[in-house]
Amino acid sequence: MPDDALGHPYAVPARREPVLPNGVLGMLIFVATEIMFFSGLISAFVIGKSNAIGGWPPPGQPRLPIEETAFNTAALLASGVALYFANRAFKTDSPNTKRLLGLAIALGGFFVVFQGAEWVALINEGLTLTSGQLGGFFYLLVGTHALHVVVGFIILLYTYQKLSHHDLDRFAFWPAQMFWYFVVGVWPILYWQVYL
Amino acid sequence: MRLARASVAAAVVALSWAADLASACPSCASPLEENRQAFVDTTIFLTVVPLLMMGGFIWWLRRKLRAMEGTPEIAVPENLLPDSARFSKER
Repeated sequence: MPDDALGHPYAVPARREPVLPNGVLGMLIFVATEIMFFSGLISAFVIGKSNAIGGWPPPGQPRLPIEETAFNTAALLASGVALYFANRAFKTDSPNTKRLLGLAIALGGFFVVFQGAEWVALINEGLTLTSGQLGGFFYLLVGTHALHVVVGFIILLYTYQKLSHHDLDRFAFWPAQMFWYFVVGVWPILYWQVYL
Repeated sequence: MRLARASVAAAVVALSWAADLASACPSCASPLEENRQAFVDTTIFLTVVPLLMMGGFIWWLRRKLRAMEGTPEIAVPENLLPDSARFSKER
């Protein structure tokens, strides 16, 4: 087989870059199902809220920490921004990639820890899964999101590890980013619906 | 054929009344105006979201394919393709 100037065989089948890599397509389908899942949960909450007798939040139930969670929301959004800039740095092979990805992970971790502390405080105040409609919906919606944040956090850690070993390609980085952007993007909607 | 179609259409219309009679439609049965409105809003929301997602994806795919139409297929050795490019000092 003839070689080119670099010594590589050139008689290989012609190919184009795929429109959508398999990993990205798979994650896209998964995120679409997740959007519908969260849409269903939010819809159930909106209907439950509108059906509550005595107004919402129900009387006699602990108040949700609006200001503290606003701060936590800002941390999660900042994590998404840090990941966006990490991707930009990755495209140019910048050494900042690792730093920015690390920052995104740290902010995501902060969100999870803060959320955990908030839950402990609310449980001590008497808001549990079975304490009423507010507690039931709160732990279902926020808990489901928290579970997604934890999974996204693990995916980002895995991505960071691959990056550290110079083994990260963009087709592995994209799906991880998509999932994290989904987790970050859905939270302000939940905050608006559940807390405000 | 025309009769069959008309029968199906009539059956569908008849069923829409049956839902009301059976109180199978929660938004029709609720005495609270806010609750009825919430049912209508969430029905619209859950209908529009998947349509928007699918529509958005098809629009994006069409745009991407049109942009790719101009690019020729080039025979490039596997190890020189950007797919295999790794984030490493060697790149």
